[in-house]
Amino acid sequence: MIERWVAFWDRREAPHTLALVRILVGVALLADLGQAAIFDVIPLVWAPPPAGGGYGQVAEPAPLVVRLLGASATTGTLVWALAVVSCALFTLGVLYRVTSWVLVFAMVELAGCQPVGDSIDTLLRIVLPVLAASGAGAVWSFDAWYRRRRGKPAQETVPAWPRYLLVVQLLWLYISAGYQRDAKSWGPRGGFSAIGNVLGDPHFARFEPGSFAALYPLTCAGTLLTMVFELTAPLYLLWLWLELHPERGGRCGHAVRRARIRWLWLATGVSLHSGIALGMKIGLFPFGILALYPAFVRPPELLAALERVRGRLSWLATATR
Amino acid sequence: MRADWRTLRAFGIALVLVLGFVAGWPNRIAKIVAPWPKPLAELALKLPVIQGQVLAPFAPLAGALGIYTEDWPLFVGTGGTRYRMWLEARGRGGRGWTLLYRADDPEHRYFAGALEYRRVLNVWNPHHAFISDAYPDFARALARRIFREQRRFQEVRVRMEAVDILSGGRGYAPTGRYTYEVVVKRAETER
Repeated sequence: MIERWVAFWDRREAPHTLALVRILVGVALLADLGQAAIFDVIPLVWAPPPAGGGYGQVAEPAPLVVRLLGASATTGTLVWALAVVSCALFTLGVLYRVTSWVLVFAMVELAGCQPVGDSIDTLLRIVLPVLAASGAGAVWSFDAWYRRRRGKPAQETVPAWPRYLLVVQLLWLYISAGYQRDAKSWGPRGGFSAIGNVLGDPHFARFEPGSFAALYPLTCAGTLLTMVFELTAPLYLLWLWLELHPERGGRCGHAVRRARIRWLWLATGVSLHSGIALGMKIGLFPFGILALYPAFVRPPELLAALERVRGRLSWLATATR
Repeated sequence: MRADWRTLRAFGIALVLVLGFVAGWPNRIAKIVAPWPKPLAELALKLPVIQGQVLAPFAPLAGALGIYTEDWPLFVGTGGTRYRMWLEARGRGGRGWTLLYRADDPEHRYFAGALEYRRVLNVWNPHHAFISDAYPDFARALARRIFREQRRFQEVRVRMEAVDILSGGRGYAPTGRYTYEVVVKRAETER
């Protein structure tokens, strides 16, 4: 039993899935941090009072950067700049082993200066150290290019455990969110009104509240679908296992594989998060979660899909010539 | 040596998974177990104490990484009373307030992109029964910015109007009740 547990976490796989997660998370985070500059709110968010709302700079214990540089608007701006630069290098895979941990540090210090955040900040602080410890920089990165240029062989495989942990993290997020939704609006007693309600909230609705009244039944269906999706999250591991073991599961396993339940579940997740991104002004959350979704895809599946896309594109290029 | 490292890593991951599970016990447990049978609910209510004891030795490491929870109460409750932010200012003489920004108001969009940027929105958006600790400092910093940009204003007011979410996806209805009001005078920001 112990030997199997050790062997499971010692598995290796192609690095492409983790690399894709690295790039998508980096781009999403960079866009989020960039908005702070575009909207000119860096001091408002991270400077200490009275110049800003970054009360973490004057709290006890103070973040490390504040202990080193003192509490000031400049400190807040410097931490933000460090996060932007390290995030850009992380995304490009430049000196990945170093820059990924610098990004982890910068994100912790940003949260230290401004402790108010939402769940995506919490999630990224959990996920980034896992990515930093992974081989996500082994491919589609500056490091990989430089390695090739120096005539060194490419890293064919990297440890798989960081991807497994990302999958467990996402599944747990859904399970935790699902079983805590005890408000009536998420169930039949409240008429599955939760999503319709959110679309009427003046702080979050992207479109004029009430403009979707004609489509209200669809929002109810969306609420029901959200609950089913989140509460079935633990079953994802069973569906994956059944796909990996075509000889197991009997009729039930055969039905799950034939109906492609695992992929249906993933497509539902993508649709729900896309719907949130479209209908609500909550910023990074749906994009940050979707950036982690490639972790659900095993590297052979991702490489096969890329091969198919490449084939289609070459066919298109030939046809249009 | 290699086998030792593999074993150590596998047990490290097992520890992380167990701690993650414990850190995921819900903070809202009292509310969740309220309808449960009493003996079961009493047992569940002991969880937060055990949770604290189990996580305490690892808290410094988790704190260094900024990891505080694995509890994800996302959009737990929707509907009922929600809020609509008003940002107003007025000049010398204390005559009527000028509305600068109001959530979901296309006519009053001062600094709207910034105010609706999620890191700023998180600071001023009230949750069910509380608003963030950063809100008062944020309101003062926002007022300083307005005073700097517009010499004619002497006072800035930030407040939240309670609104009722209407059933059937029909939007919301204003209540005329205001809360979380902060008024900042120019003189206070120039001290």
